[in-house]
Order: sequence, then C-alpha cells, then structure tokens
Amino acid sequence: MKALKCFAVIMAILIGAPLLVVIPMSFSASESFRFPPPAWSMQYYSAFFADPTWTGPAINSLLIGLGTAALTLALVIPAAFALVRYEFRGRAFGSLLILLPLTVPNIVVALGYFYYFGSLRLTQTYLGVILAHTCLSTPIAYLILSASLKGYDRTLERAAANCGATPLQAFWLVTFPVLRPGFLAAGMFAFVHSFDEAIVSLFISGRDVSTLPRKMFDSLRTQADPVISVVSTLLLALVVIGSLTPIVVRRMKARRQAALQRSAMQAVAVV
Amino acid sequence: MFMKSMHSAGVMATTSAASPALSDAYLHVSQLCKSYDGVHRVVDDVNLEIRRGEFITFLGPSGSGKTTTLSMIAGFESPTAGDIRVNGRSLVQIPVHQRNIGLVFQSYALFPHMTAVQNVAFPLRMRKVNSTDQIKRAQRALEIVGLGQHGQRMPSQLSGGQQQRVALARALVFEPDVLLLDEPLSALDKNLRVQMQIEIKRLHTELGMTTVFVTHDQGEAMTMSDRIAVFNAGRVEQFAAPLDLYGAPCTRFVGEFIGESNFIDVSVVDGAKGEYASPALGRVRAAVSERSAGATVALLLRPEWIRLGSGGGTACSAGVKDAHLEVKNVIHYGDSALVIGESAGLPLRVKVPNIDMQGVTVGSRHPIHWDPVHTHVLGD
Repeated sequence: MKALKCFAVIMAILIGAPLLVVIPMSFSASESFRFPPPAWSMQYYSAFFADPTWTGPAINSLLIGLGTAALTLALVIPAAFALVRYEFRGRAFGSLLILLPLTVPNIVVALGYFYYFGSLRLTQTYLGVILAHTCLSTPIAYLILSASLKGYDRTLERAAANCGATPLQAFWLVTFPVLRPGFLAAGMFAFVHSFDEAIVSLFISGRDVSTLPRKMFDSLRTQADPVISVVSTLLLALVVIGSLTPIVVRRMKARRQAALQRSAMQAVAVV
Repeated sequence: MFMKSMHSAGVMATTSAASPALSDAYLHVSQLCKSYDGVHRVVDDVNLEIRRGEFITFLGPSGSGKTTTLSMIAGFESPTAGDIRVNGRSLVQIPVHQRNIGLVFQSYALFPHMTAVQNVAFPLRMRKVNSTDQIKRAQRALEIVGLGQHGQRMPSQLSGGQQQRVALARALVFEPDVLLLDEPLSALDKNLRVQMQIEIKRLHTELGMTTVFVTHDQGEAMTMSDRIAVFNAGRVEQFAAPLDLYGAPCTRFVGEFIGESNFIDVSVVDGAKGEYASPALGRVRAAVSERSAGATVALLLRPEWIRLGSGGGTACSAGVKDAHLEVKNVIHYGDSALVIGESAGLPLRVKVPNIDMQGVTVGSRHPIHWDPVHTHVLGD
C-alpha cells in the first residue's frame, strides 16, 4: 500500500505542478514568459482589472454560464422527473434523444451552429451562445440529475405524509432538500462546462459577446502576455473557494445543531 | 389447552372463543377488498375486529395480501370495497396525512438530511407544536427507545438497529391512535432481531398502543402477538391467539404454516367416539368430531404429540394400533430431535425428547402412539 501512496503523491504533484507554475507567473515583473520570474509585481493584476478587453469577456462568461445553468436546469429537471417516474410509450426513446448530442464532436457542432445560427441571426448574441451551450451540457446534466432521482427513495414521501405532511410540505421539506445536491451538481456542471467551453464560443460569439476562453485563445496567439496567468490564478482561486465553502457551511451547521441538542438534553434531564 | 375440534368451514375469518363484541372493536376492518385489475382480488373480503391496546400480527407468505391490507389502513392504497374504522370513525375518505396513524416502514424511511432528533420531531412539527416542545418530546421519545445520546447523529451515521429505533420513536412521538409496523425486523440479523422483538413488546406493554405488526416469520408472530391473523391469497384464514392457532388451526394452510405438522387423511367411522379409518395406518383414534360416518377429514398431529413406543395400553389410549415408524432422517436440536420417517408409506415427523433417543438412528424401526385427546380434526 505504501507504493500506492507514493504513486498517488507523485501523480498529484505531476497534475498540480502546472498550476504551481501559473501562480508565481501571475506575480511576475517581467514582460515575457520567463520562469522563474526575475522580480515580483502586481502589474498584471492591475492590468487585468483595468483592461475592459479582459474584464468584459470575464463578465460575459459569467453571465453566459449562469444563463446556461438556468436554462439547462429548466429543461433537465422536468425531463428527468418525467422519464424516471412515469411509464409511457416512447420513454426509452426520449432518454436516448436527450443523450444524442454527446455523440457529435464539438468542432462539428460548432460549425453547424455557425451556419445555422448565422442564418437565424443568433451569432454574436448572448442568447445564441447560451442556447448552444445549453444543448451541449444538457446530456450530462440530465445523466447527473436522473441518477440522483433514481437513487431517491420514494418511501420518504410516504413517510412524510404519514407524519402529517401535506403533499406540498412533503416536497418542500423532504423531496427538494434531499434532491438539492443533485440539482446543484447538474447546475454546476452546466455552468462549468459553459465557462470552459472554447470551440463553439470561438465560432459563434463575436467580439461583443466574447467569452473568456476565446479571449485567452486570442491572447495566446497574438500577445503572449503573462496576464493569462492572472486569469488562470483567479479561476483557480474561485474553484478552491467554491469547493471549501460547502464544507465550512456544513461544519458551522453541525456545531449549531450540537449546541441545540445539548440544551435539549439538559432540559430533559432537569425534568 | 387443546380445544375440541372446531368446525368452521375453512375460509371465513374466525375469532377465538372469547371474541370481542362489536362495540369493543377499536380498529374495525370490514369486508375489505382490493383489486388492481378488477379481476384478481389482492385482498378478498377481510374482516377484523381489533380491541384497543391489542398487539395483532398479520402473518402470511409474500403476496398473501397482508401488506396491502396494512397499506389500506395507513391510507397509501384505497380499498375497492369495504370500510376501515378507528374508534368508530371511518378512515376511507381521510387522506394519509390526516389519519394520525404511526407507521414504521420496512426500510425505516428516515429523512437523510435531518438528524435523528429532527426526524423524530417531524410529526410534531407538522402538528404545529412549538419548537422547544418539539425538541423536548422528541428527545424523550429517543430516550424511551434507548437512543437518548444519539439525537445529533444523521441517519447515515447510525447502525440498522439504531435507525429502526429512530423510526419507532418517530412513529410513537405523536401518540397515534394505531401503530403499524411493516416487516420492520426483516433487515436485521438474528440477535438484533430478538433484541428488537423484546424492545417492541416492552414498548407495547408500557404505552398500551393498539399495534398491527406485519411479518412472514411465524416464530416472530407467535412470540409477540395477542392474536394473529393468518393471510393466504388475500383472505384471512384464521384470526386467533397464537396457541389456538397452533393447537386448533381452522385450515390445512394454517396448520402447515405455523409450526411443524403431520396431516393424516382419514374417513370418519364414528365421529362421536373419535374413531377414524386411515388407508395407511388402519383404525386410528383421535379427538371427537361432529362429522358423519364416511366423511373425509384430516387429522393434525403436531410432532410432539406423537410418542415413540407402544403406549403401554390398548388401542383405545394408543391412538393407533401396531403402527411403526421407519426412521429416514434425524435432526438433532440438543434438548430434542426431529425424527423424520414413514409409517406404512405415510410421511411423519416426530419430536422426541433427548432422553428417549436411545437407539433411534437412521434405518431403525419404532412403534408409535398418541393420545387421542391431543389431536386436532380438520374439516375438509
């Protein structure tokens, strides 16, 4: 087992090393991609935040990501409930249809959207990119949500009713909280997938609706600017904060519950 | 202890001699039917009168209708016909969440996103009890089931037996009219099961709740119940106290389902004198019967009612004359043994106390006898 642990550590380092290069690079004082940086400075951070050709795409990606997540969930939630819980003809065909976009390579999709959205005048619009990203993320978001739904024990709703909950109370207090991680996972996947998506964005977002990956790609081709490492570092920081937040929240909740429980036990002991 | 032969014609629900008057019935199931396709009846004309505070078990094989009947009492299924009344009030039109019935599910069905104490407090929350009282009463319920220290745990952090107790506490905390348990112990290992049986029985004695317990395990039913309703193919074949079911089953199914049994098909020679004729064993004597001569009946002999040996007397007291058992197999239990064999081709099982096991081995041959009073006659 020790050999396995060593191997895991080596793998972690190999995967993590590129990130470790990026972070110090973002604080570099030099004009080019020299590593290790000769001096430290915040110049690229101020450059990034001051430059609308960077902050613009960043905000666009954020908006498009949120829009994609919302639209994906709006489509996938009813689809998953219908296909998992109800028996009807064409049910198997329905789930197959939802998964179909996975079979087409991204570049083919991008080209297709370029011509099709072009004729619909949807290129270079927020709506166009959101629609395209939604189509791309729907299959996997559906898989995530339907897996969560299939694993859900419907007896819970019966138990809630037996305890005195009306159907509405049962959904709000039992079904939704239990399924919420599944909803969140599907939504987060759609957001991340959209945020990261470069190829389709390259084809159909114009300069106005330029997304961050597209800007990064352009910047690498034309500028070779270390500002890119600032973007990478910021994205990394976002991911780390996003991952730690639920853990911290859960700890705080548990601590609050324990305090409540202790006071309840004391109350009963006194009686 | 052993009742004289009962002549119920098999398939109607019967109660033991001390049957409750209609007005005593706290939970009254009348002419209950359920069919999903209009043709096959999953529950077929079930009638049960359950007194307040009784511990009743629905016993039967899978598909016998016991769980569906329980579902209808709980309100998850609606009857095709018939009525269910609790304390005089008909439940059939009342939705599940207003029935005030506690239910322990086979899979426990604890809410995974709430702590144990929150789970137990949930019914109180639905009844708009204020939050401090909720926690207090929930905590007390947890202590009654022995989990006072574990209130803060999430269901995933509890063992199967502990989850079961939380489910029990949640069903009891709001002091329901009736407590239902749907095969709650089937997922537990043997030791835990016995422990929980004792727990549930103790709680029942302490709280005096009218309880309906569903199981397919006859041993469980026998040890825990005041009365058992034996289900078969949607009907209740017999509804009586455990010892009445054991000593005087109404039908062959009940006789075979509960405990070990030997059935001897005979024709009546003289019912009043208890004389019968068996094709295999010849003239036999058993309990008296009101059936007329020539009728076919079945004699039930429990393995422990048959003795090895010639009985030391005349055929009158020996039950059967010159019958011998050829031993095919012996199963040892320590204090006794189950001797499986044949008598003139008729398969018989005899329970022999270990002190009488001298010389009893596979292939040996022994005379057998029984006391005619200690038999049971089943009408066919």
